Amino acid sequence: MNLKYNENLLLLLFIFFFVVSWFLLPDYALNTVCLSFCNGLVILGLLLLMRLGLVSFGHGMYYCLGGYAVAMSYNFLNIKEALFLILISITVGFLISFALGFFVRRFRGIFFAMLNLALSMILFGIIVKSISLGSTDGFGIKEVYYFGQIIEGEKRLNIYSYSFIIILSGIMMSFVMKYLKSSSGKMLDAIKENEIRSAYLGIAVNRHIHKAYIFSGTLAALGGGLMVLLVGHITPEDTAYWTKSGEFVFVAILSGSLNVFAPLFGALFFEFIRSYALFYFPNTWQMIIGIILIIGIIYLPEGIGSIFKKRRN
Amino acid sequence: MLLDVKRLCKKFGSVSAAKDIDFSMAKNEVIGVIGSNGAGKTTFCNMITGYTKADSGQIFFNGKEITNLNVQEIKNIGIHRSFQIPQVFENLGVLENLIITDLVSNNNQNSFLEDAYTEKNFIKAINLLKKFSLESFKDKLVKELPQGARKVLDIIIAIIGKPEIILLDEPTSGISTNEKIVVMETIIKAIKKLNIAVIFIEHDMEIVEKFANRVVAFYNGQILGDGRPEEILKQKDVVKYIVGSSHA
Repeated sequence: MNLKYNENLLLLLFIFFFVVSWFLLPDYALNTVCLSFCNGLVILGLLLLMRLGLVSFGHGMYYCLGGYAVAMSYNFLNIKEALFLILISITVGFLISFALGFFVRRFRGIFFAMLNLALSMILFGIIVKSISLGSTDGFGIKEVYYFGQIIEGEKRLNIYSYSFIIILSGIMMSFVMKYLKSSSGKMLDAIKENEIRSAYLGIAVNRHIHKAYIFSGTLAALGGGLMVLLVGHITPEDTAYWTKSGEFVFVAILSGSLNVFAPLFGALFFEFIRSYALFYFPNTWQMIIGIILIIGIIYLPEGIGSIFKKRRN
Repeated sequence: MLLDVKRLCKKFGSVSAAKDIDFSMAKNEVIGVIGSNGAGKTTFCNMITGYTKADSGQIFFNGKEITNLNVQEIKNIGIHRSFQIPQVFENLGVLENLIITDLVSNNNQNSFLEDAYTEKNFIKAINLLKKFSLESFKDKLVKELPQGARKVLDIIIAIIGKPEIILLDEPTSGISTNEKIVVMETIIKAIKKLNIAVIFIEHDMEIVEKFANRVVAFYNGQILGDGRPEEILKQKDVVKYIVGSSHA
């Protein structure tokens, strides 16, 4: 382990690169970058669970909750400031994951994964059957203020929304980085490695799983909230349905859990590949994605993040 | 007395693994527990460390009854153990194993603000390895260690948190005959410096004779002999049922 290896500096460069990209990339690419960052936050949340050896097939639920929190606050409470809307989505994600965490933390392996999927499908069912929640049509939002600033008549993707998403994602990445380096974060490695041994050592296994679950759910809700700010619309099928959760797991596996950059790179890689595959192979794009996952599993079994893995001396 | 065991009994079905065991231990003693397979040695250690609940009897530690405490509570009051098969985090590094254990024993497992792998923590872990002559393995993953080193690491992990008693379940099993004495010498020397009392289960009588200052011999769930090694290892019943005539 190299103590001098500075991940914080790398993160700053990473964020700086993407902020500057606003002036360099075409509009369609910027839009894909932003959407990748929104999804990347969910995958960042899944990374925390993967560090525990757990996978959630239902994180679309938190993505959906965060998105609906923003859309409903906008439409019902007339809140138009992006920062407040995002704070609401974070709070909703935090509270729901805190409450559900008491239940799911008792399960492991496939039971944990499927339980989350079941919860996600329950949410999907509730929204689809509720006219007041927009049913299958969901909600739309119009202009949003970013720290009091708005560009009238401009596209939803503008310098404010772009930098808001990138910088907020960067802040979350730094929080996750800090968490994984902390004493609390290192307990995740021990629990993944040998839960019984961890419990004997005195590690509060369930409490650590709960904490990681809350952090993970909150990140996913934030991703959903930012997605609504970017896209301006949310439906249950695009968020809480099992295929969306499956997509997050797909990208999480592709990314690996070695570092906080991997989920963002994984999400970027996936979104761009999907865009191009859809464009060039509209009828067989799923096959292209499948082949890429197979190649990834064979050549990068620890995920995209392993490209940057430091060699152990 | 540091540890006091009174009329401890344990049955597994019709088999008695412990029959009215009375035992006591003073501070800084190094006790070798011997006995053939199924004699009740490991059950005895499991009952002291809370892994197995006794059917009847009492266990006192520093005058306080601990019979009904669970594994974690017993560990917290100062009775630690190592295992016959080392229980370490195989895919983590040697230093990582030590640092994580140290963080937990110092009640520091919930901190979000402090980094775990600081230079200070690394130095502390390396110093611990030095005490057990294991510093050459500091950059290895545990799964890369030879069996002897893995055993010693398990014991180092067990002494983190400064217990008053440590129970070592066959500390030299799986280690080559040549290495046994060296490994045991290193372990006992380091543990003695820390003023920790030791109970070790061992099948190798040479090791018991050399390192124990008291021997407890088990047979059929009962204590057959308890005393100085030179006396117990020559006791008629002990020779007949446990040691074998060649050693005596």
